[in-house]
Amino acid sequence: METGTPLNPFESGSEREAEALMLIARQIRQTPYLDPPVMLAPSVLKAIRHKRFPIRFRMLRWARSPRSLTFTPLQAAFVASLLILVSAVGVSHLLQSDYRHASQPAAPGGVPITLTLSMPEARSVSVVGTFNAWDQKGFEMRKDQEKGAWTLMLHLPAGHYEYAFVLDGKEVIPDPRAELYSDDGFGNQNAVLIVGNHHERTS
Amino acid sequence: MLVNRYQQPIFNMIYRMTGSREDAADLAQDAFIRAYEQLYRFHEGKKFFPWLYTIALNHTRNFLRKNKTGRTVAIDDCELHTNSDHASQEEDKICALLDCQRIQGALTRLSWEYREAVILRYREELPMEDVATALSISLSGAKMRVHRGLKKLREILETNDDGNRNAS
Repeated sequence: METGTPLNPFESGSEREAEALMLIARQIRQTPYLDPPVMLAPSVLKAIRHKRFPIRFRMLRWARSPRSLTFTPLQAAFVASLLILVSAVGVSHLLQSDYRHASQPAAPGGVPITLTLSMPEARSVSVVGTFNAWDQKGFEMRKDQEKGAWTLMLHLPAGHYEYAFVLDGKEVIPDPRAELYSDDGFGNQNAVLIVGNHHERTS
Repeated sequence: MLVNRYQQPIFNMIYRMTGSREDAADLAQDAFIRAYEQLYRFHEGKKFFPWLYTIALNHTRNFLRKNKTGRTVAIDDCELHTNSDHASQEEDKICALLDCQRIQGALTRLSWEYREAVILRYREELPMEDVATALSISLSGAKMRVHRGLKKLREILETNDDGNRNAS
């Protein structure tokens, strides 16, 4: 263990020793500096000529090396326009996707819904609701003579609807087969219909 | 080119470690090839020279461990490369020649741990921080090793001088 020895030979110890060490240091400094063999550098170059760095290092070096790009203003404008266009298309696509997801619009033509009412004694049955502003015109149901059931197929966008059947043009009743009902504020109830994007409902 | 720039100090450092021109040339060549192979490990921002020295020293140490036979420096090395300032006076030239031979002979008898430290500090004149880096030791360790190496060198020189006096 090299402890307890002064670090600088010229700062401590006897003056004679310091001078002796300084002389030795000077003599070392004055030892000849030889010229390397002439063939040293060429032999090294020859040996490393076909050596290749690991691929990881070469890729890193390539990535870190600065590159110069030369372009005209016209080229820059074209590239900028292209980038803006691509960005706009991308943003638009994203927005549309979000909107579709949020609002769940109906498939083209709406979701087919078949309303059915088993009321063989009725002479006519119509459907009114929020989807037709409670106007029965054009929403008359057809009677299946064999089953005695009244049916009407609707194509509705996805959403939440209230509806009822109008019997013989005067009596209004909610759909007895509905799963949900809602008060109409006048002491009666309406059937509730919830239409999704991918549902085909038969009431 | 890095080889052209550093071949002389690397060759001389190895030469002083081994005492043989042939070995120094071979080891220097190997050291440069190893440095090239490990170049991707070199961290930018650090000093290249101490890093290169470290590789050369490690390679030389391995060589010295395998070849523990002592070597002496031929006198013609000193003769050929004596400082030209002394050439004008024959007596000074002879003294310088003897000093050169004496110090080189003592260096070859110094253990290689101290030898490399002393050579880097006083012959290559590296800052102590670079000596520490090249030797892969702490700054205080480098200072200690250089100082101890110098003292041991003095002891070797004094022993040689005493031996020569007794012989005469």
